[in-house]
Amino acid sequence: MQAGHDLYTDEEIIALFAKADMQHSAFTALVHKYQQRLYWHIRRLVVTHDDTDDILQNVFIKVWNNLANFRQEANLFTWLYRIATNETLTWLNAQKKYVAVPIDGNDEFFQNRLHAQPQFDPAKIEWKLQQAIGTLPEKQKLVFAMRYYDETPYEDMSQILGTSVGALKASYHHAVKKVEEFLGKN
Amino acid sequence: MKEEINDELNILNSSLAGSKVGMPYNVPQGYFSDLAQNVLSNTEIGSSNSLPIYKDMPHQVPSSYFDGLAKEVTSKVAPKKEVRLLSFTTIRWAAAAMLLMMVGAAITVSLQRQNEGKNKAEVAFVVADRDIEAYFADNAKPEMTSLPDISDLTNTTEVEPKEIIYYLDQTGWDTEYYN
Repeated sequence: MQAGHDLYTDEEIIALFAKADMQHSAFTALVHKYQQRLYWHIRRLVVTHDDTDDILQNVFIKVWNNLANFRQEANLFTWLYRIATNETLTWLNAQKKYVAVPIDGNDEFFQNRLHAQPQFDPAKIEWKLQQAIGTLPEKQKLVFAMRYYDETPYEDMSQILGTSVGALKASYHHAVKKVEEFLGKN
Repeated sequence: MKEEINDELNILNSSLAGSKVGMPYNVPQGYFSDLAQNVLSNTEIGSSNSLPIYKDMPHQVPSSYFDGLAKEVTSKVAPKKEVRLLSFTTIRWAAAAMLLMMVGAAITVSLQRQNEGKNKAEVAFVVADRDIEAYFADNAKPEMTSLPDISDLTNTTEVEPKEIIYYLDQTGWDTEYYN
């Protein structure tokens, strides 16, 4: 079923959504096409599945409410990513209002959630890497995840995050150095 | 893209280069297959009035509380003299009406004055026409040629009043102006 939905191009999904009797089909196709990428984009920042699910559902509800006004000259995936990023950062800011977060990283909020994961094993490299990511400031965390895991081109990241390509490259390089440093120590 | 990212990590001497480290998190089984339907059901609930929530409040209100509420409140408020205030809108309309009346009156007076001046001019013009017509009518009379010459009159030692009146009549002078 999912493979079938992936056959739709973005333009076809938008065109179908414009027809009142095809809205549900078009929207289902859109969700199936992008749900996993958006899910992991959010989950890398908020760690838990339940919070990721809440945010992702909000993202798709916003997409449902605004897709009719979506301008075709923009890239649909860039638009979806931007909504997901904004929703996630807004949620994180609201959560962290009552938690002390050091400016230089070492996100206690993030680390606590990581340690609370049922499969957490600090000896395994994949968990170590998550802990290393947890030491990064929010923006670097976002850039590292988008580049390393999602393999997002800097140009697309620039559109999604509203930051210059040069600044993103610098941010990613700093993030890689910090991650490397953490992995070297632990 | 994958190669580009690996090259980037190699340049940075990162141990992450060459081996992709996966995410260690689990996702509940069947989560992605149901997500679209879950979101759709949420959007439909949000847009419809079919929420299975009773709107009636569970709290109790003393019987006939609302019947006596207005009376109770008004009894606690000190009686005040009813003052009728004109609203700002009413004042504005009244001012506009007065202004229109004043402008109308000014226009009427101005028109009347203009008409009076015009009438006077017309009267003067009519009188002047009449005089001219009379003048030409009188000058066209054959008797004019037989009028006594002025030198004859001056040479006359005695001029009869009849002759003076006759002369004046012939030249268009009206005796009424001199009586």
